Amino acid sequence: VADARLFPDRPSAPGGSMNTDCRNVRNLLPMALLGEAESEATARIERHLSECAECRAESDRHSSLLGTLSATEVPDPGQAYWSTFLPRLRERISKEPVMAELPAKRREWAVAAAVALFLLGAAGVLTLKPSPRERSRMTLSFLATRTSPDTLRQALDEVLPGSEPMQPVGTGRALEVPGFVELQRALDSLVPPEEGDPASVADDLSPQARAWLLKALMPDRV
Amino acid sequence: MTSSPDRYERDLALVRRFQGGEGNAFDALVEDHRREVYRLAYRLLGNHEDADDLAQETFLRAYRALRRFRGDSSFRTWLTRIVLNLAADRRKWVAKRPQIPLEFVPEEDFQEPMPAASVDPIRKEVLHQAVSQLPPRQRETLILRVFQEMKFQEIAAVMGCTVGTAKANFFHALKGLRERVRG
Repeated sequence: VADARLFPDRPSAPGGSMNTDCRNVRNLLPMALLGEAESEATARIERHLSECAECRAESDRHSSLLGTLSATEVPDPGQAYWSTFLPRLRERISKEPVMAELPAKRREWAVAAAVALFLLGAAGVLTLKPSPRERSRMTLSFLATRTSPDTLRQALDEVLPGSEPMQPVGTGRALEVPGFVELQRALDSLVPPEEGDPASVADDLSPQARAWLLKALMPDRV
Repeated sequence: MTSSPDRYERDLALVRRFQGGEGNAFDALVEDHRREVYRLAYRLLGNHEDADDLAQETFLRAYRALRRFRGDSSFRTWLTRIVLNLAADRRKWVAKRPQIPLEFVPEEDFQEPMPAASVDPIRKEVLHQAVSQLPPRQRETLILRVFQEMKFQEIAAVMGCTVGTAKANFFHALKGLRERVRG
């Protein structure tokens, strides 16, 4: 922030009418109240507040607001809750696929195999000539049943990290695999417009496979 | 949990131990971060059940992805990003449920008493409502800054924006609150 530009050296208007200084001060008040304004700006704000009753009142209101916010606390759920937190998590982790425990080298091979299987299957399905709806159903069935959903999810996490919430979209490795958007577009193209929703062709799948597919392929729809 | 250099180094050391095959290093990370993750989840979702579920899911996601964690950001930043993204996903699921942040669970639901509130309950309710009505990015920035006490640089890293944008979001959040509370 350019303090000199924001705080031209001129006195506040007498009687508390709003002027440029007032606007500048009010723009910087939140940062100043958090203690994050630069020292020179803070000094100018304090000087201005000592002369301007309206801005001083505004500062008090902001301060009160922040104070009230800070004073609200999340109730602690108690020791009984915390004592079960990690055991419950461990139980869920124990149900995770063995994939997560594999050494990196073996995991890479497993991922590569899963990706290859996925691409092979997709290519094979795409070259068939049944109806579009039938093809899309076959594609989805292939993805869900011929490959372990967990294994394939891991594979997608590796090569298409945009589908994972903790990684920004577009930071995936430069592998020769279809991008997420391309994958979606390809699936969309398999579904005739009048039938529209790719989700509908997954209706016949098992609930687990369907949930996984919807999450993996259409995160925006979930 | 703090974001001090010591904290950062300890987290990173635990992550490296986990990546080296020490499973109980992950337990230590959970122990260190679970309270803050729960509190953030509670602020974002507004009730104990959803906060618990989100906290568990956050650590499960972290467990799955931790072997690929490179340390480009701090573990805390990375974990917070998971919380925010999962919370955003969840809000899509429960869009029909209007209550959002800063709600207070009835005291009888907990074994420990609620902390004494030092603010006027009527105004507090108005404020809760006002916070829940803020646009998501502003609300998240406000929560991260005021309650998680994150610096704007860290907030920017969590939210994938510039420091200036994070500050602007905070400014507008506060301005929005002022207008809503004033009404």
